[in-house]
Amino acid sequence: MSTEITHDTAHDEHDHHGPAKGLMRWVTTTNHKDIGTLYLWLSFIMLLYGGAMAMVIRLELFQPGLQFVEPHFFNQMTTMHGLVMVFGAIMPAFVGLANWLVPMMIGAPDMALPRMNNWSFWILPFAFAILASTSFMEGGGPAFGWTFYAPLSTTYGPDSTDFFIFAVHLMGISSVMGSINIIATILNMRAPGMTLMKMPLFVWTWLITAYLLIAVMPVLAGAVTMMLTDRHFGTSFFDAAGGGDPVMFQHIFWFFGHPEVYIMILPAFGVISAIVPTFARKPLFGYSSMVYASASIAILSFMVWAHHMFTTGMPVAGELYFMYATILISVPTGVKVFNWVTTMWKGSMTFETPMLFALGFIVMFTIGGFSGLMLGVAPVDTQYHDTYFVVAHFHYVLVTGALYSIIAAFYYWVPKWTGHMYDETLGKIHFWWSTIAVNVLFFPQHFVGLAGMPRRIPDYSLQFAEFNQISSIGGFAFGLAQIFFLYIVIKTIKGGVKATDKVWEGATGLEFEELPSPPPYHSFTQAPQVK
Amino acid sequence: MVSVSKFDSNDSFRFVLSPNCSISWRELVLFYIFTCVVALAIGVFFTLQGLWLVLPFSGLEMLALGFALYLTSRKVNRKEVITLDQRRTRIEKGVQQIDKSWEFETPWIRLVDEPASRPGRPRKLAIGSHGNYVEVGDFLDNSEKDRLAFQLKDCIIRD
Repeated sequence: MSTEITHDTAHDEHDHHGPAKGLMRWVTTTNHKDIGTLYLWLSFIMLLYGGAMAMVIRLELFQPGLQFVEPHFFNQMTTMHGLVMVFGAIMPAFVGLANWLVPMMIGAPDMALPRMNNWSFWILPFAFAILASTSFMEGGGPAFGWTFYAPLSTTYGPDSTDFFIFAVHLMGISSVMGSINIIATILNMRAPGMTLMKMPLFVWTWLITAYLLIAVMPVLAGAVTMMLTDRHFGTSFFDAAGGGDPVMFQHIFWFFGHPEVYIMILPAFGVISAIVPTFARKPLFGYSSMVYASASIAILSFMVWAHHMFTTGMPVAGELYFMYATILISVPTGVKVFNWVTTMWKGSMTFETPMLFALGFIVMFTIGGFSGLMLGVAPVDTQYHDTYFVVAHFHYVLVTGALYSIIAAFYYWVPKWTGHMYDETLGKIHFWWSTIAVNVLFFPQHFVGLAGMPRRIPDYSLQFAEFNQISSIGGFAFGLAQIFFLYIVIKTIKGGVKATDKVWEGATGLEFEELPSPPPYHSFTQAPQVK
Repeated sequence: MVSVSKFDSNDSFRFVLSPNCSISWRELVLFYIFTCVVALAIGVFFTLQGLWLVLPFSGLEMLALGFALYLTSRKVNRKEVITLDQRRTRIEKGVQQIDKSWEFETPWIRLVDEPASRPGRPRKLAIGSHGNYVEVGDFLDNSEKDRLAFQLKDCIIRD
């Protein structure tokens, strides 16, 4: 007997097909794994692009005097390097990880809004193409630093600033759409039994990160729009001559910018909280305190923005408030570091590459945290402000912090994604090469900063020459190490020893316990039961 | 989730099927209101400082968030109601109201239980007669479908 079944749901038969063939697979895909892969590749390309600009900076600073580039071009390099690394490398990498992992970790078949997911990715290549094109425009690209303070970006900004503003709007739209998608997915699509307090820490930290993004992205959009109206429509939001206030620009920028720092580090905390228990073969110590610490960090991140502005001249009461509030952040951050160390305490530890990068993160991120504490002390910051000490601080947080966690996440989950184990020997070489190089690169910058070398200058006094030479050598070595990483990535994707479904002996979580390696194109079409 | 109730004295049964819903509508609304308060408070704060262009972006973003949450919550708040008595079997599908409905004569109905095409894939349950079948509970997992199929068969045979 023939039967005709009436289907009134959109996804009938949907789960039976695999990926489309050819280039259009990547253009039209709504699959969270495909989009995650696209984000990760884009961020790697941006890492190399931003890294190339860092090489120009370190080449010029190899010795005092002007050797290779004009000061204006140097300023463009520092500006674009910062913008590309923050908005092009770190943020999309974490969104890529979220795309790959969040649905698999909560037992959902895909993201809540897959078409919007496709759109939020495909906006980005155009945004970065626009941003990159400014370097070839008359007057050059943005040269006012990644903080684009007024009036440098308004009264004195080059014509290309308008393209920069448009690019920032596009990046913001992409981030907002990505965040909305992540919030909707985590809230609405958890598998039966996956209560909020059973979610992996990576999912928790991403939920909080998405919330932060939602809260601060309108501030960034408003700031760049007011820049635009100041430049072309006769307003004076930030123009003192028209009754505006340039310092207000710094307030609005850092009201966005400080939570942005946590947007770039909270998902890293989630990654480390997944890796450390696996290789210590113990459950994470203090799960709930980790959740509350992440939320506390997020809340505090809205209350500390003016510690970036101690030297603009604010009342002593203001300085005291922002100093104490800033130092308060070390409490929940300390809780996290304490919990990771306690998880490892008496654990049956092994040191595979993801664990090495996670340990590198814990040690070096803590160094960056301590130098941040020093910078948070208002009277001391008067000396350190705008010196290379600040450059050293935020590179310890963002390179050995955020970037290291992204690399750790790659080594940890790539066997699950591809079904191939990476080459452990090459992974370990990558870790030690990167770790030695990154410390040779950034540690001396503390010394030159404390001695008074200002940031964002192409030339410097002779007494800083040795430390700058050491720093540049470290920079070139670190850059080469990431080319080596690219080789490891391609080698792992193309083949390798077959990974088991669980991949790591101590791995837990739905993605390791319920899915094969690699997972099917459409995973969890049947919701798993969470115990 | 499947809930069954016997609601009449004359052997009538009602099956209410709904997908897993990881957050209730009330919790979602509270979350949305809280997010709006935070985002709009930031926008108002900057407006009071003279930087009023933040507020329209906050408003737009909250509209987008609200729309996205509404769309996704519709997906998980849909319901299917199967009502069986000795004469008629009625299938209704919808979110807050009946969007579609089908009616069959109970003595003629059959339950089609189509096994999964591959391991890990969902099986299909359909109810109907005379070549016209309606899939039910496509959002249920296989163990819930097992239970539903058993209970439906029991009711159909009894009728």
